[in-house]
Amino acid sequence: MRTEVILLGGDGRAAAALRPLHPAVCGDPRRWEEVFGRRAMESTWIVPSGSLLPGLLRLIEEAPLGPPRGRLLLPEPADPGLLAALAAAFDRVLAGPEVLLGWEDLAGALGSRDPEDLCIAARRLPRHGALVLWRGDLRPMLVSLEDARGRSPGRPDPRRLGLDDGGQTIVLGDFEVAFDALLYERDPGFRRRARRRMHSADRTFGGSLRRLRLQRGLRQGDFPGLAAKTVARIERGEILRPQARTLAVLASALGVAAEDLGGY
Amino acid sequence: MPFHLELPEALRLQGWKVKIRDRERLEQPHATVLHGCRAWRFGLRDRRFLDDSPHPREVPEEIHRILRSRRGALQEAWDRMYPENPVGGRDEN
Repeated sequence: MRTEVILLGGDGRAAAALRPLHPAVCGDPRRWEEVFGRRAMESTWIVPSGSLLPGLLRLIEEAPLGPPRGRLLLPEPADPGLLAALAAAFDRVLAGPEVLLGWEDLAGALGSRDPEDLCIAARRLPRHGALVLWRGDLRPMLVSLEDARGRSPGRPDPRRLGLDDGGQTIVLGDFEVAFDALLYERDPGFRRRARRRMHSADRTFGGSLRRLRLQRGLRQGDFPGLAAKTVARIERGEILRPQARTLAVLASALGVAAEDLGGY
Repeated sequence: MPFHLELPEALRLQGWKVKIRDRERLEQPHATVLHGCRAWRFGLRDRRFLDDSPHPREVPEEIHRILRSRRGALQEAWDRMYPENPVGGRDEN
């Protein structure tokens, strides 16, 4: 869902790039109180300069209607104490990521139909062998490097972390990860949106089962007690209503609930 | 290493790309057409776009033509990167 963007501070480059989103731009801190009146539930507040944060916090404290709602994006790192206070005032706060989309790409992502399906920022967690990826609605997603690699023989290099294709690709050196592949495995909401976009012929139970099986790296003969032929017939749509016991075997081997088998 | 399909300069300058990344959704085998923050999955098995939205009509006709004419190179790249789910299929039934 698209959100209203509110840009605080006088960053000309950010304002120019975000212009297609018709942001509320408020360069003069003395006028910030006016934008606080907007209070849209789905606002994304962007504060390009960390030097503006104490002023923002003061305004939040003094706002007669209480703190604003929405999400706060701070491209620069911020003092932990200040961040804790801001986190109490906003639904989500993203501050000082290691990698952030450029302003033009960020505008494209925030203005897209489904910003949550794009990755706008990233950070390495070297000690944990993981990445934090932030979606366009500022929700963070933790991904281990092992998961990011999948079964690929390639070698991701997290030291060369980057984002490409308007937030659709995570770059790890010479290794590229399709962000939608990570979302597909983690987020039922994304899977629902992805299924709506598919050709109707691919939305069958059999199609879903086949996608999930291959995503898990299983063959049709890898289901104990089920003949490979039976699995093949289900995938081809020749068995439209598999028995409960069959569904239970499939779900158990694939690691999902039986009622979710048709949602991939 | 991702596979990048070479495109004419005019399309590249407009920001169009066609690639197979190291980590993709596996089914169905596909190449992804990318432009800005939008993407179209082109299925390599039956040579059609896999999704209705965004509509394949929004992809330039020249890219449609290139996808069809370079299908062999795309299939070879996919099969090399994803041998467990080749374009030709390997299920026993």
